[in-house]
Amino acid sequence: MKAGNIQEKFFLEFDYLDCENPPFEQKQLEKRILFRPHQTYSLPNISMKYTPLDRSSEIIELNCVCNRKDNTNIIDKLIEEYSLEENLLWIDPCELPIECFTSIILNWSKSQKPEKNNSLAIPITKGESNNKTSTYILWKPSLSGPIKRRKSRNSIWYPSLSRDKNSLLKAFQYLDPYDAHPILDFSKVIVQPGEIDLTNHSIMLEQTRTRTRNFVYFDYLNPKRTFLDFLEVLQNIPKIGPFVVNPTVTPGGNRVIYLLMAIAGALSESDFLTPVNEIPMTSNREIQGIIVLRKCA
Amino acid sequence: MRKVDRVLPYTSSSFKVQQEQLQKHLSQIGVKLTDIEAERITCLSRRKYDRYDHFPPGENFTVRLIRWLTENFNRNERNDAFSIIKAIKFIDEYELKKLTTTTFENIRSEIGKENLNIQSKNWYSFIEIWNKRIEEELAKTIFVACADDINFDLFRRYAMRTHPNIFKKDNFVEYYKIDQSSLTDLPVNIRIVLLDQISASGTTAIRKDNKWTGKIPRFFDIWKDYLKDKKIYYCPYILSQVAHKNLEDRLLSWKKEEKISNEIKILQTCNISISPCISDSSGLNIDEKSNVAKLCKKYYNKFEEDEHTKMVGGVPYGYGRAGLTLVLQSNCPNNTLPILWHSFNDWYPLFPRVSHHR
Repeated sequence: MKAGNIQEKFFLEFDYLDCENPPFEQKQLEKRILFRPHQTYSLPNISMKYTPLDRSSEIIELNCVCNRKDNTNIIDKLIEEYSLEENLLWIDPCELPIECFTSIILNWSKSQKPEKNNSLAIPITKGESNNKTSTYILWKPSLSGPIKRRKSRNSIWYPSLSRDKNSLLKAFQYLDPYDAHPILDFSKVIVQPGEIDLTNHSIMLEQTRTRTRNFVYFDYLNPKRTFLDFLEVLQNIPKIGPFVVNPTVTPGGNRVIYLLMAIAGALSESDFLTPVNEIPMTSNREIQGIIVLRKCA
Repeated sequence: MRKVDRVLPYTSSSFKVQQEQLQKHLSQIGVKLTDIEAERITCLSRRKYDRYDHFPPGENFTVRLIRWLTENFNRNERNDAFSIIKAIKFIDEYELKKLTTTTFENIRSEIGKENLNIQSKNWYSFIEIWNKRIEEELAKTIFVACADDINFDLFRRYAMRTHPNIFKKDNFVEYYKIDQSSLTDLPVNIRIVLLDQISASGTTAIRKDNKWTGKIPRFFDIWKDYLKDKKIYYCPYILSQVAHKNLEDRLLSWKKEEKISNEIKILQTCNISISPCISDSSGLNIDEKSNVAKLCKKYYNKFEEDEHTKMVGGVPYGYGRAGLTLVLQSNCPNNTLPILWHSFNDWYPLFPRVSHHR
């Protein structure tokens, strides 16, 4: 698979381990990176009960990538400082605002030292993500945090229909996309009588004149294919040239689906339309699974 | 002259008009509908129900709904009858396509959870070996269609597209009733996956009449010795609670009686429960005192039983007492409440069904 901005000879691999305890452990080659979210500048008060973060590997505390004055790549800096090579960097997304999380992913993908082969492991806890209902802002992740974006005439919008009805309708009225591909949580849709997620947004779907064939079904139980397909869609949208289109992502719903959308959006350098400082995962719960992102030669 | 706003089809204005009309018509025949309920039903009828394959061209769900309520039920029964509509689970062609590809992904994921005996402790090589081992195991798998409405073509193409150079065409067998001599053409394999669209009572898959019959025993009869030491997966896209229990019980008895040594695993893609409009508070049983159950019983005299339905003692709550309100775009299963689909003795069906059993 082609990777967004990684040097051409490297490929991005996405794997999902459907387990609480990864079946490998190499203390020297694993580092736990804890980011202090930019809105607090201190480590979040998380009781680190779940297994991957109980690993006895070295812990590195870092300030959030957002709002930094220098534009250096935080992952490159880390590689240099700790002489990292072929390490697995555990990143805990709990308490991280979506802006910080996507900027960290972007830093990793744009690292100038892919040959050092440092990969990311992201544990995801079970349950639904926390979604704010305040005003939606259009932004884009960068190496040093989110950049505000002006709305474009040519937006294709990928909103999660698990979000609040009224705030999503307002978000649509602001963005005014020329096409929308709503995301539905398939494991919920397929068993839910009444189809609440779909019918909740009937007014918005009619106003956007979204056809049923535009619906995209995400299955959190099979994240690998879901992620690869979505990333491919976002990457294939022309962002330069005569027909510029701005893919805009509004993640939501199940935590796995939320993070898949966020990672795919960050790697493809898409726009995001979310409330400011939305923190999708706030509490430690049972682990649903672990995402592993690798750069392979 | 008063200016009338033009209502364009497929716009929010036509949606609003349709919603108001639905509310008005239903109110005239004694069915009370809140604004939110009217919005939901209008949304689902426009996006899903209108596309039911057996509606004649030009006819839509709303028109049929009004006829179904007025021609079949007394005025005081219509609100209860309408509660069935609120509980309908309609699976359209896009969802069925997604179910097809999800079934393949589930099988892949199940293989990934098996003990693949990976020795490496290094995280990087572990993932590399793990991915490779899953592909090797997939190559040793035969996928067999047990029904004609499972989008098997899509299943095969999806598998071959997402795992290029792994599968041969012969990994995919289009129907389980094949000639013994064709079995020699199959690639080397250790597991066989039987794909089915729906198992809502478990009867079509396995049952005991005078002797054991159904898709699974028939498959064993046809494939005979070829199945020695192979792992068998029965993978229905949709499995009801009732069927899950029946299948587990029957497979156990059948294996014991027929001395079958193969490991047989049920791996469904999605579970479907007894409809909330007819289930008790646990959601696991039919509440025969519920108003919907009473309606089903009252009008069961209109239903004409055949040898299959007689054998199970009648089907007022759907075949095998499945109590479903499930409708697939291609057909309505007989496990769904018959008052939704049968057309005997001038009963007007909302979703007319084409029977497989004749």
